[in-house]
Amino acid sequence: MENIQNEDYSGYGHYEVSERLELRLPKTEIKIERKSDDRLSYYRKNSENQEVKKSIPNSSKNVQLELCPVLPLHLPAKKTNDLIFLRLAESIFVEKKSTVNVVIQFPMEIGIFIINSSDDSKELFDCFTCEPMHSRFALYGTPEKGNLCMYSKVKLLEEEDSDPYIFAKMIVTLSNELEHGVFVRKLVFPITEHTIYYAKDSSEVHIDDIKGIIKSVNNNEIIEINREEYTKKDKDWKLVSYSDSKDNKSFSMEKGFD
Amino acid sequence: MVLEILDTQLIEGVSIWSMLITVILVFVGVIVARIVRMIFNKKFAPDMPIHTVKTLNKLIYYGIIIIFLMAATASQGIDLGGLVVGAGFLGIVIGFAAQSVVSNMISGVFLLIEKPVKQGDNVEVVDSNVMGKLIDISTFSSKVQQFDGTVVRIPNEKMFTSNLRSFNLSEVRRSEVTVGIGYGENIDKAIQVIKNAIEKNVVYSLMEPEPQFSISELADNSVNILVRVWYPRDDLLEVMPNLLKVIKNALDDAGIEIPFPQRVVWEGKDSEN
Repeated sequence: MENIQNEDYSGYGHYEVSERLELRLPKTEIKIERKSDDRLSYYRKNSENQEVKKSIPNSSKNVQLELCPVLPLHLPAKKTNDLIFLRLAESIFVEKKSTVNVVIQFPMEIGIFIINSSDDSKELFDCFTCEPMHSRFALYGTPEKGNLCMYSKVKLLEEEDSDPYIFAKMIVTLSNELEHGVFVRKLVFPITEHTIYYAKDSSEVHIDDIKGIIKSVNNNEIIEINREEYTKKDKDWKLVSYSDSKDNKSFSMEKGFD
Repeated sequence: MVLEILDTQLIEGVSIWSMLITVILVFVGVIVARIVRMIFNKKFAPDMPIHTVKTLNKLIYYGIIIIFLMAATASQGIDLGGLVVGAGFLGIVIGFAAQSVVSNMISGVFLLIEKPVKQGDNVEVVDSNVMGKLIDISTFSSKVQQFDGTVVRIPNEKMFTSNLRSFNLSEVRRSEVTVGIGYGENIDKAIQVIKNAIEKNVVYSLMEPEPQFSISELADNSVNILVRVWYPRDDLLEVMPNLLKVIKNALDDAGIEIPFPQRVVWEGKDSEN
C-alpha cells in the first residue's frame, strides 16, 4: 500500500458549498460546482477511473456538507447483518491465563453527509472507499451454517503508525482463560454499535475497542467479544454513531479463531 | 304459496329453505373469514415472515368457511353423509376425472406444511428444468419467476414429487468455470494470475473461502484449470458474467496462452502421384 500520510488531502469536518468545492482524498477526487440552473453538480472519480455523478436540484442556498469516516458496511453493497471479519496479517499468541493488548487497523469507508439547514439532521449523500480492496466479503464458518461478513486483511500497528482515510485504529484486548496458549488469527464481531471518533481538520480516526475473552464452552474454544468504549478520546473529537442506544451484547466466535 | 315452495324437499331431508339458510350462513362465514384475515394481517402479519403469513392467511380463510359450512349444514339437519352416499356413483366418476386436481391440492397443502422451499426463495425444480424465484404456492400450482422475467406455472404435484434445489439455505453459493492454458505455460503462475485478478476485479467473490483451483483435465489442446468461486447467494449475476472476462484479460495481460483447437490438414499430393 502506498504511503499517503504526508500528502495534502482534505481533512474531515464540515464544508460549505456556495459555488465550487474540490475535495482531494487518496485515489479519489471530488468536485462540487453550481450550475446555471442553480443545481449543485457532484462528481467523484477514483483511481480506476470509475465515475459517480449526482445532483442536488433547486439548491439556491449554500449547502453544508460533512466529510467523515463511516463504518465499512456499505460497499460494494449492504448485505451483511453487521458482522466484520478481520483477518490478521500475523497471528497473535496469547499465553495461558494472560491478557494482551494490541492496536490493529480497522477498515473504514468515507461518507459525505448533507446537513439539513433547518434541523441540522444529516443524510448520507455518498459513500466510498479510498482502498477498494477492503470492500470485500467473507464467510465465517462453514457454507452450511456460516455468516456472511464484511472482510479486511489488517495489520498490527505500532504507536506512530497510521493509514489515514483507509484505516482507523482499534485497541484489542485478549484475555486467555484456558490452560494453554492459543493463536488468534481472525476476529469476527458485530460493528453497528461501534462509534467512530475523528478529529476535525485531521485524518486521525479511532473506533471503539473490543475485549475478547478466550474460553472453553462445551469443549469448544471460543472468543467472547464485547465492545468497549474508546477511552483515550479527546473531548474535541467528533463522533459518528449508528445507534443512539448502545446495546453491549457480547458476540461469541464459536466457529474458530485461527 | 311461498312457504310451500320453500318447504319443497329437494332430496330427502333437504328443503329449499334449509339450503337457503345454509347459503346465507356460508356467506356470513365468508365475511367473518375476511374480517378475521384482515385483523390478522394488520395485527400479527407485520412481524412474521411473508411465507408464513400467506400460509396462515389461507388456513384462517378456508378454515372459518369450512367451520361455518359444517355448522350450517348441521343446524339445518342436512346430512352430508347422505348426500355423499346419494352421489356415490357420480362421486366416483368425478373422483377419477378430478384425480389430478385433488392431487395438486393435497400436494399444495403438503408443500405448505413441509416447507422444502419457501415463497421468495431462489429454487431450481430439477425435473422441470426450471430455475428462478418461487413467487407463489397456490391451491393447485406454484409459480416460479425465472431470471429472464418469465413466470412458469408448475402443478403442485409435480413440484412436490420433483427434486428441488434451494439456493436460500446457505448465505453463500459456489460456481465454477473451466479455463484452458497452453501446455507450455507454468500452471502455478497461471493460477496466481487468475487468483489475483479475481480478488481485485470480482468484488463479490468471497475472500474466505478463497477461490479454489484444480486441474480438471489434460485435454487435447490445453491444460484445463477448474476455478471455483464463492459469493453471496443472491449475487450470481454480479459474478458469473464477469468471471471469464476477468480471467481472460488477466491471462492475456500476463502473456499466458489460451489455446484453441487447431486442425492440421495434409494435402494428399503423394496419393495423387
